Amino acid sequence: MDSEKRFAKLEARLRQREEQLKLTIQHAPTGIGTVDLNGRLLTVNAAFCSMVGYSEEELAGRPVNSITHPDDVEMAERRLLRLRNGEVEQYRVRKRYIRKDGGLVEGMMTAAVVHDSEGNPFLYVAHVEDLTERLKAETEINQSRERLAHVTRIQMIGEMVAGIAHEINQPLTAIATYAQASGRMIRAGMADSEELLAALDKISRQAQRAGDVIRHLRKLVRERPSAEEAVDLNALIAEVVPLAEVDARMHDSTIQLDLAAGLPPILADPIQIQQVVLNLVRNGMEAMGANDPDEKAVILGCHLGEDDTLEITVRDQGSGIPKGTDEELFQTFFTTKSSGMGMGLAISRSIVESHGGRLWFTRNPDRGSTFHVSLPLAGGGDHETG
Amino acid sequence: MKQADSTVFIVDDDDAVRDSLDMLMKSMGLAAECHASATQFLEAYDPDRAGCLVLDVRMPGLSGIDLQERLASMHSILPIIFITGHGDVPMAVHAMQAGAVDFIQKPFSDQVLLDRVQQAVEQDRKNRALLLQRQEIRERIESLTPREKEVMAMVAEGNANKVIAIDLGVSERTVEIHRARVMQKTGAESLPHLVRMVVEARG
Repeated sequence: MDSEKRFAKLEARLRQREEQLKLTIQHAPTGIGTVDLNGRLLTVNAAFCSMVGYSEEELAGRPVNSITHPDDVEMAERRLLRLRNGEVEQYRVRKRYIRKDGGLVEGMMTAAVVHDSEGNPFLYVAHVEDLTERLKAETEINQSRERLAHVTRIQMIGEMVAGIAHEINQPLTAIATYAQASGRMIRAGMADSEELLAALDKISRQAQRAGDVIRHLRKLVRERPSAEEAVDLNALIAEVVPLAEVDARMHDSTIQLDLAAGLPPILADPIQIQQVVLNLVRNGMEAMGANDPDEKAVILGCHLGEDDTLEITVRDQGSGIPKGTDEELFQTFFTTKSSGMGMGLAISRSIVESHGGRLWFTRNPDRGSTFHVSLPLAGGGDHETG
Repeated sequence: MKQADSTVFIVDDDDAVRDSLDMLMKSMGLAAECHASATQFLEAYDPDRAGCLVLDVRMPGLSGIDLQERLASMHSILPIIFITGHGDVPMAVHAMQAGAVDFIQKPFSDQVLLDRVQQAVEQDRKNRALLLQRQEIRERIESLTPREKEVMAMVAEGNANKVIAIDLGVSERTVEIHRARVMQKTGAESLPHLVRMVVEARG
């Protein structure tokens, strides 16, 4: 076999390989494209074309920014620059595209840079997953979950109100009836003052009774009976994490743990403390809504605090707490969020304080805030309550 | 007063509500009798006592609805006015279907309650008079001999004496005698009166 023939055979095999590779890319289920250093699309596969609704010909040579959502252009350019400068090898980011028909596509893009034989950046390869359907489904799940929570709350309130209404209706009924009977007796001229005085006395006692119901109710709300037990805080946090991760996925956020080992137990109602932790983690995630995905982690820590306490810290990289709202922050119905009742922090603080602990926050030196919950150790001397 | 021998029975576990209702009834010249529970009421219950029952729905032990069922199973005709502290619609519907006169929500206007109580007491008085009358008629009919009863039934159906005589195989004269005894024993003043009595007794 002469070399010419061998070369031809090799070339044919090479071409075959290339063809296979092309087909693989062309028919990959997710969008794949290459972009030159000036941000123009070079090649795109079928999945990418159908995602954005353009043909391959229409996309070739087109600036990728022209099909990017205007709000994401700046972020995309910044990221590409970091990639080109070699600061990162690849990155993954949520990015929105505008379809040819004007529709919106939510994508998760992974980009990497390809270097030429001399090591200079040469082109970008992008891999885009269509998240539109998934996000829609998640939004629906989220909405129905919130609706359920709302219905549950309404139902609980409804039951409570019915109970209270009954308790207050009884003395009110008696008051009204005594008064009406007295009026009838006076009008009928059959009133004797002894009898009327007795009725007046009964009326005032029933008014007192209605007042007692309300006082008792307020006490009930303030001092909910709690079941305190020795609690391993790290184990408790570990139980919260899967719950919080449901929210983390919704917010495209992550939870990082920073737990000190071998911590002693505390005396607490585990359900209530879990509520506090979950509430703080959620707040943290919501505060980072505008961040890039790789800057959305909540750091959940637990370590020994001062004066025989354990301290839970929830650190975010969010927008931070506006100056001058420090005190209002813990008040009922105060909220900086567009959704929400502003009950979370007020309830959390009252739970923590009913455990003889403290809840406060500090501003991080770089960005965001850290919320601190300190709880007294079990048998760690006497602590003040109230 | 025609309601003099009627009693308003008040059953409510709340001392103050019960006591104030007692005072309200007395201010209207109505005799009232209070019971703190359904069981207490049942122990004292006498089907021959007229009036009405003012009954709280929600009580520990036997509830107002339970008491209504017990009374129904005893064929009580005492009218029941329910009072309730909360607007429980299904319960109200159930109570009304089971024959309650009314369902009033606390706190109520005394006028509304008194109106209902007076209507109920009046209704009960009429019902009892009717029952008494029916009882009397039945007793009078019971005093007839078998042959007289036969004649009475045929007369009430509108048969002429001649027809009855043929049917029973007796003389027309005998039928006339039986017929006169029927009228006398039942106290019927006319044929239509007799017919009404027969219908009433079946009622």
